[in-house]
Parts: sequence; C-alpha cells; structure tokens
Amino acid sequence: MTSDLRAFSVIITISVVTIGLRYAPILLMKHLEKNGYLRYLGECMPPGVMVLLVLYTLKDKDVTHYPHCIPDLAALALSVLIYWKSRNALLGIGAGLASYMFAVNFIIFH
Amino acid sequence: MSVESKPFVVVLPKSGQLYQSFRLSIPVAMAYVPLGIAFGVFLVTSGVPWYWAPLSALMIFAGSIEFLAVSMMVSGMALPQVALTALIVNFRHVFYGLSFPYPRLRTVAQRVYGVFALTDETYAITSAGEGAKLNGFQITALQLISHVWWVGGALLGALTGLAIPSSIKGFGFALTSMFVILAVDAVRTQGTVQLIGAAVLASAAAFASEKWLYRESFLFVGLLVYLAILTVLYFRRKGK
Repeated sequence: MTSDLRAFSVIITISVVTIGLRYAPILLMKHLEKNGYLRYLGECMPPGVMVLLVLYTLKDKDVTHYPHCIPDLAALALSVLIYWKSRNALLGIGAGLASYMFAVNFIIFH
Repeated sequence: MSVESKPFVVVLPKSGQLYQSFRLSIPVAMAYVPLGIAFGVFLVTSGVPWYWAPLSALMIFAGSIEFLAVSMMVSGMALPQVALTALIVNFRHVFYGLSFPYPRLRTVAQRVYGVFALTDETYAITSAGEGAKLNGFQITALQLISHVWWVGGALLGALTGLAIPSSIKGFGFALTSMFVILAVDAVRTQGTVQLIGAAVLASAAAFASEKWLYRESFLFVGLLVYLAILTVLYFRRKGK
C-alpha cells in the first residue's frame, strides 16, 4: 500500500509544476511569443513524449516468457485500429482495456 | 440634444448565464466522468488509498499526468524525476496561456483559479465558437463545473475500485491505451520522419539506461535524450 506521505508528495510536486507551467505565459508573455526555440519544442515534443510514455508503461513486461506480451500487443493494436476508424478516444481506450483484461483474466493462466 | 441609440446588448440574467456554462460543460463531462472513473479505479487497484483519487483530481486539474502520478507513486520514483517528467509531459500548457481570455476575468480570485484550472478542454472551449463569447463569470463557472465533473468522476471510480475483487488484474492497461491514443494524435498532427527517428533513438537510450545504468531512469533519460535531439534539430535548421 502506498503511504499517505508518498501519495501527497508526488501529487504536490506535480501540482506545483503544472501550476507553474500555466502561470509562466502570463509572467513571460512577450518573451515566450518571440522565443522560436520554445515554440519549436512545444510543437515537436508531443510525438516523442507520447511514444516514451507508452513504452514507460510497458517497460517492466517480460517478452521472453509466456505469454510474450501478446495480450498487450493485441490490445494495443485494437485500441489504435478502433481509434483510427472511429476518432473516439474513449471507445479506443475502452476496447483496448476490455480486451486486455479479458485476455489476462480469462484466457491466460499462469 | 440628439438621442443616440445605445448598442443593443442582450444581458442574460445570472441564472441564464450559469445555464449556458453548464450546457457547454456537457461534452466536457462526457469525457471527464468516464476518464475520472477509470482514474479512480486505476488508483485504488494500484494500492493507493481511495481518498487520494478525489484529492489528486482536486489538486492537479489535468488528465494524463494524473494517471502517471499513480505509476510514479507506486514505482518509488525520486521527486526531482517526478518534477521533470511533469514539466515535460505538461509543457504544452505554456502555450495555452498565451491566448487564454485572461482579461475577461475580473477579480483576483477568478484569475488565480482561471489559470490553475486552464485545462486542454477549457482552452478549447473558450477559444472558439460559442465559448469565445463567454464573460468572466461564465468562464469561472465553466471551469468550476468541469472541475466538479472531474473530481466527481475520480471519487466514483475510487469507490467502484473498492468494490472490485483484487483477483481481477489488468486495470493498468488503461494508461497504456490512453497514451497510445495520444501518440496516434501527436504523430498524425506533428509526426515527421525526423521526429519519429528521434523518438526511436530516445526510446533505445531509455531502455538501455533502465537495464544497465539504474532502475526507474527510463523516463528521465528518454525525455532528456529526446529534448537534446530536438535542440540539435532546431539549431541546425536555424543555422541553414
């Protein structure tokens, strides 16, 4: 069980950083608009950041042993496919999660 | 003395204004409530006490980072690394503030809360269509109502999570699935061969560091390498 202190310190750290990011443009309005480097970062960061976040959630999985991450990969493919076709994010997440949970709880036995 | 006609402005009564904000918040609710429920369930089934779901939703009014917060709590990631990850993942917020209708908010409290609660959705609603005409009172109302949807969803999810038998596994996949969808969006709108190449290199560095250097360094190293590559790309492009 995660302790209250641990939960609180992680939440407050993220909260402060997020608030800081939301206030920064008001304090640095003129400077930010002109800064091409920051603008470039803002535009180019999402693809790489999101790819890293996907992998971060999968990094402790073991590909070398049964079931070789097959439920993960299949559910990911389903999520992407459904989202691509429907453009509905919740539908994509729901389909991926449901199929993954079905696989690990009812199909694969350890 | 001439009789000048005043510009005709329809001023809705306060209740009418509030209703308009509420109506605009419905699509937000449709996204926040299910996502909040997923978040609450994820938090409880990850072994974090249930009350941190609504508290976290109250203190951090942002989406994906909130799920990530749970992973970071459980993994025991060091706080400076937590801060850096939050900084990079939420970096886009810096640019929302540039066009947020800040001057429409009158009191100090409204402004402070307005910036605190400047989510992707608030930004989108207040910057286009019907929402672009909202007054300060209505913007604050819209933000407060959206915040209530979010905290309420998280609370509902936490209570649901408590009722789910602990033998059922796999809720964490919601996080993977959410990020993959955000990745599809990002690649579709901003993806270039260069950026995808940079992401692949950063991922390889992150895996190597996690495996051989030090556990839980994955995100830190991956994000820094990606930033470093972007910096090189930017200055090379500028130098041409």
